[in-house]
Amino acid sequence: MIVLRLSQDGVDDFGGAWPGTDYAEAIGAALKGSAYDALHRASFKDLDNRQTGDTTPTWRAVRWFCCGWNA
Amino acid sequence: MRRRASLDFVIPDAVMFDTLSPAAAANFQAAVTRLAEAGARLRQIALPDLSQTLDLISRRAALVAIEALDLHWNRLHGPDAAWIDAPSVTERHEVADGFAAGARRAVDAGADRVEVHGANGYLLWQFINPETNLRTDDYGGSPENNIRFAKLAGEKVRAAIGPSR
Repeated sequence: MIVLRLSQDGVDDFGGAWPGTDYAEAIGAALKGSAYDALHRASFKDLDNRQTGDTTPTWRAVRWFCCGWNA
Repeated sequence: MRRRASLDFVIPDAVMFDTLSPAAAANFQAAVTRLAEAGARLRQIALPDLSQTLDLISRRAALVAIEALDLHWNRLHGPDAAWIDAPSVTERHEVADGFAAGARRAVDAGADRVEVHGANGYLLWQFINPETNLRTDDYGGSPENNIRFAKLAGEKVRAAIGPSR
C-alpha cells in the first residue's frame, strides 16, 4: 500500500493554507487514478478546516473528488 | 493478485499516529515507512526529531527514511545549502527515484506500507502549494501541474515495489 500524506489547513506549513475549496477539488480530481492507494490527512480538526467564506472543509473536498465519497 | 484500493479510503492522523504511544506503535500490525524529502525545509527540521517521530512506527523505517532524505539532499545541493533552487527535470526524477528506492528498501526490511510525505512543508508540498510553487512549466501554474511531482513519486514507488503491494 502506498499512502500520500497531505496537509490540511492550520498546520505548521510555511506557506500556509490551501488556497480554497476549488483548489482542493482540483487536487482531488488530479489524484483520481494515481498510483496512491490511500491518503493520509495530516493534522486534525477537519471540520474546522474551512477557508473564509467556504462551507466545505478542504479535506472533504479533496476526498470527494479523488475518492468519490465524503463520509 | 492484490486488488488496488484506488484511493478509496483515508487514514486520519488520529488513528495512524497521534494517538499511538511508543508501546502501542510497537504492537501496531502494519509497519509504515514515511518517505520524506525536505526540500527547502531541510533547515527547519532536526533529524533527531524526525527519527523520534518515525521511531514510533519502526526503528528500521526511520533509518531507511533518514538515509533517503540525507543522501538525496546532500547529493543534490550540498550539506550547506540554505535554500532549494527550483529542481530541474533531472533532479525531480532523481528525487522521485529516491522515494522509489527508499520504498523498495522499506518493503525489503519488512514494511507493510509506505507513505510518501506530501505534507507539512516538505518538498512535495512545496510543489502542491501555489504559494511556494512559482514554476511556469508543466510542474506549476495549476493544481493539476502542482500535484504532478507527487504523482510522479507515487508512480515510481509503485513501479519499485510492484503492483501487488
